[in-house]
Amino acid sequence: MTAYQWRLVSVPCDTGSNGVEALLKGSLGEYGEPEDGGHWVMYKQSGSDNYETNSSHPNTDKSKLDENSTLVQGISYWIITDADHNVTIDETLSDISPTTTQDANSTGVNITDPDFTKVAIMQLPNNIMNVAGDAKKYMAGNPFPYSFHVGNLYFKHYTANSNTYYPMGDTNNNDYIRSVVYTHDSTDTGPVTGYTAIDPSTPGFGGSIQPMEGFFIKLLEENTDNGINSFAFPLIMSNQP
Amino acid sequence: MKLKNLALATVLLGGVLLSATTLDAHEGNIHKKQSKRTKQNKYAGWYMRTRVSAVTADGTVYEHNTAGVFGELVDSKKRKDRHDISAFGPATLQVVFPHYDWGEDESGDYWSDYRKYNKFRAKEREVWTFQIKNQKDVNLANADIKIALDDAKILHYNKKNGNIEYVETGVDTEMKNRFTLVDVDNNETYSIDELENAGLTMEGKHTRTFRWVKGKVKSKDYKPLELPE
Repeated sequence: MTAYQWRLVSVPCDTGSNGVEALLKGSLGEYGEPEDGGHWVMYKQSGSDNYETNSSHPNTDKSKLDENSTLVQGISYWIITDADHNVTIDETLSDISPTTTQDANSTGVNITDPDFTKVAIMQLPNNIMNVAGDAKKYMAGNPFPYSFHVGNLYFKHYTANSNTYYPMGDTNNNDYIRSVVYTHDSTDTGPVTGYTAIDPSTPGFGGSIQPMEGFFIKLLEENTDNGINSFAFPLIMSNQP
Repeated sequence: MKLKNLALATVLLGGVLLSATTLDAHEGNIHKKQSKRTKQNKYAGWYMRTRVSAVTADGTVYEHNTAGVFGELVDSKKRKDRHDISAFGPATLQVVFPHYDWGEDESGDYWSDYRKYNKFRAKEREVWTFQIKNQKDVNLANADIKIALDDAKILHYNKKNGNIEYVETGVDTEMKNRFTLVDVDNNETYSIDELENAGLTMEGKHTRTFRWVKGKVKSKDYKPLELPE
């Protein structure tokens, strides 16, 4: 991480009941604002199911974590530090375990993809919004310590008539989620310029999500359809961090 | 299963470095994902990437890494389509295609601007208007800027489960020579060969407007961009 540059981060494992300070204090120091002697802070999206919309939850609505806040897999958090750091999770803590996976071809998942056999299912907000044409901007996050190509990320909008995961970029997802995801372009080697787009269906926009990296997705307004949305994150262990 | 969990835990407990997300890795993955051309592939169009860098007085270089993409695809439209990617948030530096002519719902800046590929009109004149924007954090109003155009990537496509999958199958090194850069703010034009030493700057502004013109430049290409009040 680079000092004073916001990053979108996720946890690559189940961190259980451990608070955020305990998890990252070893590499980042005391949690909190500088005036309180702290060196780093984290924020999450606000709202009952953590998303932003243009109409009701603007992107300024974030809530700051306290030092004992636990972290959730499959979502991401904004983090900022006052110095350059490599970040490691404290491996000596108890109650840390690998992300729970299931077979990609198991009942209810039924994904056949030559690149992986295990997935982690993470639920997303639904498509209900108060304003026609609005979109929920949701901070998702890689739940594995391995990268994955966005074309290997699968999305499902579950209803009585639909129970199929389709890869990002598939036109079957068009009514519910944009094919593009946005990562925050904050690198250790150059000035920050903003966000970066990854869209597996559009030439020139291929790309991967790295370990511990978060990304924005856009869920589209479908005002009478409260079907359950979820991601199936692929576990591709050949993609070393 | 146990072995996989053990391997996963080993990597995890070894410490996951939050190292930089490199665009090289992204590009590498594209090639990994899009490297096969089969007999079933059909010609699908092309794309090019506008590269812009801004250099401040202290020598710091700012670049935006994924925007400025334009081209022609078989499943695109002249107006908004799924391959026109919306800009997302303000940036220190970004290259956008402004489309405030696409109606209320689609009006805005885009990081890509794809149009319909038609082989019978492949050599016709086309114009793409783009802007370089400096919107936050660092004031680049006095920065020098360099604009470059990557070689055109040639695309073929497969149909899979009703979806069109594009495959990069080669590079056209000649196509960009058919383009001229129009500096709309200054009524100047530059050939591709002239861009390296064009001496462009942000001229005290936070937004600069240019056009890529494929084919002959016309007087209307110098007209200022009309934006909403």
